[in-house]
Amino acid sequence: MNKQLNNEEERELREFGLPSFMRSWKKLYGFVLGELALLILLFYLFTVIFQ
Amino acid sequence: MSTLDWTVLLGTLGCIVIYGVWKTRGSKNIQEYLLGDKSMSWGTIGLSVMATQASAITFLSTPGQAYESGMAFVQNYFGLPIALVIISAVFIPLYYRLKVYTAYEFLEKRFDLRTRLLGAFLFLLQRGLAAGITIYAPAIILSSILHWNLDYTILFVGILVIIYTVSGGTKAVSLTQKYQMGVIMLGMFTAFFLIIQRFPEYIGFMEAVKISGKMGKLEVVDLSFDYTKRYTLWSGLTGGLFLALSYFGTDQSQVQRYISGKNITASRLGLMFNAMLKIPMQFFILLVGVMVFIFYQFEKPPVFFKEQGVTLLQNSEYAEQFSKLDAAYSENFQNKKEQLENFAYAMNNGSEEEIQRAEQHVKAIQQEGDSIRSEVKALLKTRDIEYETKDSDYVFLTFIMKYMPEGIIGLLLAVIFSAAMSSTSGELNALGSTTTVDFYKRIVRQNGSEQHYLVMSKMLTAFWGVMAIVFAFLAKLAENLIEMVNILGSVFYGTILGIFLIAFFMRFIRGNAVFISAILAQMMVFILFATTDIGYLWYNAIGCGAVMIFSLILQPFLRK
Repeated sequence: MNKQLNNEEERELREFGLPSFMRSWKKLYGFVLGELALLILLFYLFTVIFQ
Repeated sequence: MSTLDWTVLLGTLGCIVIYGVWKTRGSKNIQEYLLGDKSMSWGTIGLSVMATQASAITFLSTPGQAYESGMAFVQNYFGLPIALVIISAVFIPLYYRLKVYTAYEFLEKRFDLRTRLLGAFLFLLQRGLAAGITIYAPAIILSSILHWNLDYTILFVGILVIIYTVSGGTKAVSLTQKYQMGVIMLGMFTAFFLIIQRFPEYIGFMEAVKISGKMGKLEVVDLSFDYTKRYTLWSGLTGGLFLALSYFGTDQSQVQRYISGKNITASRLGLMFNAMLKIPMQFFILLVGVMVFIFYQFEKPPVFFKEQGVTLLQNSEYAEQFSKLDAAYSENFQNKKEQLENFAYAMNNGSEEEIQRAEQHVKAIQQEGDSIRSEVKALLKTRDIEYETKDSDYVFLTFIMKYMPEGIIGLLLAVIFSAAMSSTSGELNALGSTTTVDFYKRIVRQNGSEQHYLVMSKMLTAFWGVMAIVFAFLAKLAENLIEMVNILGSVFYGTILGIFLIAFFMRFIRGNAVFISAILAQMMVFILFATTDIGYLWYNAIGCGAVMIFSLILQPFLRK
């Protein structure tokens, strides 16, 4: 029970202050990596279209 | 330069420096001086991390690189967001838990003192030299184009940075970087829109993009597996990942920026800000270079961008040959301009066949122009075998000085100085901290007072400032300035990163194995660098992999 409480406290401490549309760090990291994949795709299309 | 330009330049720099010194005066203890009293918000950290990485070289050399070879350089940054996510998830919590001042303190807690000192020493060696290049690189270009005295330009940048970095420490560095980054972005956006406005009437932004694409400047993503190519998707994702992991995760000049956050969330969000914006920003700077390239398709560029090189040829026995080449280049330019007009017309009104024909004409003339430029460079080499013929670093500043309006020239020079000062201050701050915490406080004097360490930190920061100026005076022009800094980083970073990755992820490996492996790996990287043509980004992966593999082999034979 105590361990569970500690984990809860730690989670709250770490995720406090996140932007409201991101509920966890995992989601934020996923969003960042998704943006990277999207940028690479867009750059690839940019290369192909304007070559 | 006009009075208005001087006012804008000196006013911008002066205001930022004076505000930084005034706002952060009177640090009371070492935590306040080295960690900014752990009070930074995520926005300040984000901009500070970005400003430390973006040196003046970024804004001088990168547009020139796009002008010369297109936008493939952006792939170098593809590994960066992945690296920042790893650092945010794994490195930052540990740095916070151990309450470290420097990244290398962690190595002693995990391994032993000598591994900590090896990590700190490798950092001081490469970052100390890089700080010199950070000052020298813009100084040589500014002094050459604006006819300023090189030594005074180096001293101006160096002394200004020393004043506020020594005076206010980390807080002053972060605060000034925030405003310097604001000036940089304002200046680059202004330059971008003004370049487009200077295109001929019949060339809009989209026509410019189409023409540059047809002329091979928009090949952003290269999927080939050729390991000798400097920039491919794969080298960017792997080599770039290792470089960014090492730079942001283990280089004190960056670690110091984000561990000064008011809490772990501020530090992490500051890094995520960079993970999301760095690639678009780099893409934008390269696009500015491509737009300069298009501008010079309709306005005659010099056959060689370094005025000094042109003068050298004009005053030599090769003057006549040069004069003929220059005339041929002018003729080539006129031909190309006419063909580009046809090309632009065909793109809007012509058939597919007409477009292709016009495109082939333009490409052929472009190649002819490139070969004339190569002949001029070869002539310069014949005149002086030692002469550096790469002139792409001079493209953007030459353009600014000749075609930007009064006031904007001052603003864009403020961009270059701000970038030079922001990255140098971050470096000096980190060099001073590492020398104080990892060497002086740990080895020389362990029981000093807060006041004593505060004074020592300031003295050592000033010492590294003076060393950076000395290195800048000693620096020789490299093939490409931004690449020189990256090459220097790649040669050392792999080893440092290897040590840190073992510390984080391979708990069974101990101090002896990692220390010997790090020395062997660094020697191996030096040998490969001297004897092979491997693209430099790969040294990050090679050095890092070598430390890990050697450690795995050695660990069973060593006790500790």
